[in-house]
Amino acid sequence: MRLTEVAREDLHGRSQQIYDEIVASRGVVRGPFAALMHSPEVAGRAASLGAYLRFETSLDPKTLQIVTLAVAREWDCQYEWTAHEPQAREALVPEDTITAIKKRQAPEGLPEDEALLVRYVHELLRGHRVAPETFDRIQSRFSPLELTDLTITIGYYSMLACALIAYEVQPAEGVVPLLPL
Amino acid sequence: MSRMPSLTRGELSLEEQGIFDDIAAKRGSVYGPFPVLLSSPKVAGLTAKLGEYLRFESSLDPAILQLVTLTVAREWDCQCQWTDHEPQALEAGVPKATIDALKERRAPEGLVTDEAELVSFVQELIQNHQVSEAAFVRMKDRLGPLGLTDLIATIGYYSLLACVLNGFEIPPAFGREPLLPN
Repeated sequence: MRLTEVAREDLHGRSQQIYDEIVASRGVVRGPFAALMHSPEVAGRAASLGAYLRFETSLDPKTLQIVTLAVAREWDCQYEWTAHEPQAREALVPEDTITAIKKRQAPEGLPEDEALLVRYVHELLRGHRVAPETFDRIQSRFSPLELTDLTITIGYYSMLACALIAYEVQPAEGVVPLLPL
Repeated sequence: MSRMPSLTRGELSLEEQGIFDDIAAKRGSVYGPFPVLLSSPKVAGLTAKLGEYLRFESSLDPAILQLVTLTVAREWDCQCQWTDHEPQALEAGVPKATIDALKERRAPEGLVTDEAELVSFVQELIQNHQVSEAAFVRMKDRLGPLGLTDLIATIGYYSLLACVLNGFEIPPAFGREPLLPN
């Protein structure tokens, strides 16, 4: 990482509490939260939003992981991809889908329901607009609650990618990087 | 018009009304992305909480904050965000010439060094998915670790909002005239 990590002992009062809350929720402060900990309120509030999006989301795990992988790929974010590829597998995202996203082939070759998710991510992050046809399809598939969670998820992992990239946060020692850059 | 429903306070449960009121507390009302985000009330609340720090409690000087926000809005071609923040930027002392340079995609050309550095930092991160070593070191020396982190979080947060505003085609708030040329 481009900045030294903030140690718990360096924090006091509310900032240390935030550190402890993240540990309580995730087990450890690392990755994007280690990077953001230089502004403890940011780390804490981002972690709270992230906790909802991971643990309380209305989205099914497979949808969540496909979207996260697609976002990580768009941002060329090694840390995010490497953390989520195993999670995607665990959520039963097909191997072919993971490979297609990794190799920038997706949405081509994907079953329509997965292709739609990747198209939504691409249109938002590349063109900054979602085509009427794409939006109609995604709106007919997801409720307003789900579509809100989905879109914020794309935004959230984009936000984390900004921090991870700017600080050049690497996967932990011993963890093999999985994203070809 | 917006592709998604906007929720009003009356449509919410008691608990959700608490979230609504928290969002309105600092901002004066619930507007922009938030009426639509209320379709997922906890998300609306948690997003607003993060935004509250970045807008009202950030270590960044207001002019820097608004310059960065406008740059993010331009990068994402986000009409709602730009239109909301252009007047705020002027009020914070961002020169009109700078705003115009951003608006017309000429920036960072023509900007004074301090402004150009900020704009370039945002553009490099969003366009190239990287920040050069030199740019990082300069910004770290200029803002310190807290300021730098608030800067990066601001870029990330307004990018997050842009996804919502663009995806859902949320128009400028309060019927304001759109200010960002396409």
